[in-house]
Formats: sequence, structure tokens, C-alpha cells
Amino acid sequence: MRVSALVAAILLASHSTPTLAQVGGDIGRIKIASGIASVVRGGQTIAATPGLPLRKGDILTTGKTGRIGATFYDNSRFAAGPNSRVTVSEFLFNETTHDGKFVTQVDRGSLAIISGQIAKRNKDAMRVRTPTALLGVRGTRFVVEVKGS
Amino acid sequence: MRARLFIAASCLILAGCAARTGVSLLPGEIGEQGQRAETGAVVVLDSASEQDVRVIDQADSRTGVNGNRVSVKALPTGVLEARYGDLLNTIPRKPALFRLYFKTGSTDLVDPSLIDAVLAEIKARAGADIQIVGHTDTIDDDDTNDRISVSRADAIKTVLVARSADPAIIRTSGRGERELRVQTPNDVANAENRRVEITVR
Repeated sequence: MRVSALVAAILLASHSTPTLAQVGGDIGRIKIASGIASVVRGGQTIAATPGLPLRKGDILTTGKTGRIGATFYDNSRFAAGPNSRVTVSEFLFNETTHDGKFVTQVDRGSLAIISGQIAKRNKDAMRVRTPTALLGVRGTRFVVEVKGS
Repeated sequence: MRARLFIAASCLILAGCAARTGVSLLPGEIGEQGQRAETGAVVVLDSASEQDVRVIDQADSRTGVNGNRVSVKALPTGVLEARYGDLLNTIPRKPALFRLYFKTGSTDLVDPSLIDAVLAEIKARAGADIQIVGHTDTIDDDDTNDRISVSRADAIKTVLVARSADPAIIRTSGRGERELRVQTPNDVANAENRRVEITVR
């Protein structure tokens, strides 16, 4: 009886929903990539291809004809257009409560966003920074464009 | 010429004026059944205090933002969809949600043939990933239900993998009886609560 309770506890512990990205885990995946499109992770450049898992801190970069589409574990979706540089600065998501934080930095180019469960659950938990703006996202579909610099 | 130099010089002094940020708010997405989601809002926040500077909530508008200087411009319907057509087409498809139901206290599906639709959805999506969350009804105690819910998710993963889905793209968890589809008192069998919810992204 005691043994089975212990086994159950271990089983539960190993299956309990973790808060993502605290253990350097995956936070989403690239679904669409075309043209010159890559992910810079820890100084290394990886070609962007459908299925590539994304992690917190990844920098998405595209060339003149490049595009990247990605879906995150909170069901947020992104599309980066040509000549873009977009960093996923923060991504925390509790799949049980849907509490979390999602911060993206757009240094240049364009980023279309359809927000997901993080934005739905907590006002302004999803944010976008640019060189000239700080934006809070309250559940929506929009495009951020950064020109110049 | 001189005027231009002067503008360039003042831009250097007012750091940030070299870059321009535009925020275009689009109407909500059209769903699988053709209904449009409501327009949301984007808020310009003060970078220091993080307080609201301006709420942008008008669909088909374009807003220029430079720090706390904000200018909103309304555009005719469809202009933004056309301008950003290629970009919007690069947004991945909306994740698909499937609910599969189980026999009481077991990991046996009521209708095993429903797995086919899940597999078809996975195949139809490039770079797919799958999340399976198991649930129970309120029969049995919480610990047992936590275990059963996890077993249900794992059982579905096993079935998908046996039918050639890649295990590396599947994540599973169980929520016991914490998230009922149909609210019931304790110790009530309910077919709609005995389920897994599968998100195919």
C-alpha cells in the first residue's frame, strides 16, 4: 500500500505540468519559413525550418525575401516579415493556470501577432518592445513595424 | 540641405527618432466556421511607469508611436489586409482542438476511430506539435483521478506513436477532475468529463 502510494506520487511528480521555459525548454515551434530565415541561439545561427523548436532568448532574423511563422505553446502565433530581427525575450507559461509572461523585442522589420492564452488570462502579460515603443497586448491581431535605425 | 542636416542632427540628439514604430490593428481573425473574432486592443505603455498612455482599439487603424507621442490614423476597411497580405499569410494556422471520450475508469476510447482525424490533422501541418491533456469525471478520489487522467493522455500518445506520429513532438499531462466540461457533484459518472483534449499546432 505504501509502495503504491509512493509510486503514484513519483508518477504524479514526473507528469505534473511544469512552468515552461524555466528549465530552458521549448516554448513553441517554427511552422513556416521561406527565403533567408534563421534563428540565432547563444551566438549560433540555425536555419529556420518548419518543426524547429524555439526557446526563450531566440532571435529570429530574416533577409530581403525571408519570412518566419511560429506558434507558441500558449497558442500565440507570429509572422516575421522580410528584413526583420525579432527576439523572444521572455516566455513563461503555466499550462494549468494559463498565467505567464511573453515579451518580444522587435528591433527592425515587421511582426504580425495573433495573441494566445497568456494575453487572454492576464492583462498586459504579453508585451512587445521596439526601439521607440512599449506595447501591452490585450487579445488581438495586429502588426508592429519598425522602420529606420 | 541645411534644414535636412539640422533634422538629422536633432534626431541624433533625440535618441530614438531614427527608428519609427507603426502599430496596425486588424479586425479579429475569421475562424474555421466563418465567424470573426472580436477586435482586441493594443496599449501604448509608458516605458518607465508602464502606465497606459493610449489604448488602441479601433480596427483598421494605424498608429505611429515614438515613446509617449502617439498618433492614430483610421484607414478604410481592407487597406491593412491588402498591405500586409503576405505577412498575414505567414501566420501559422490556428491550432486545432480535439476531444476524445473514454469508458468509465479506463483508458479505452468510446470511439477509437476518432484517432484518424487527429492523425490527419498532424499530417496536414508542417512542423506540427501536439499537446494531450487528460481529464476524468468525479467518480473516485482525487489521487486516483490524477493518475487516470495522466494514463489517458499517455495511452493516446501511445496510440498516435504506434500509428507513426513522432514521440518527440507530443507532450502529455493530466488534470484529474479539476477541469470538468460538465459541472457535477462528487462521485457522478459523466461521459463528457472522461476525456482527453488534444491540441494540434
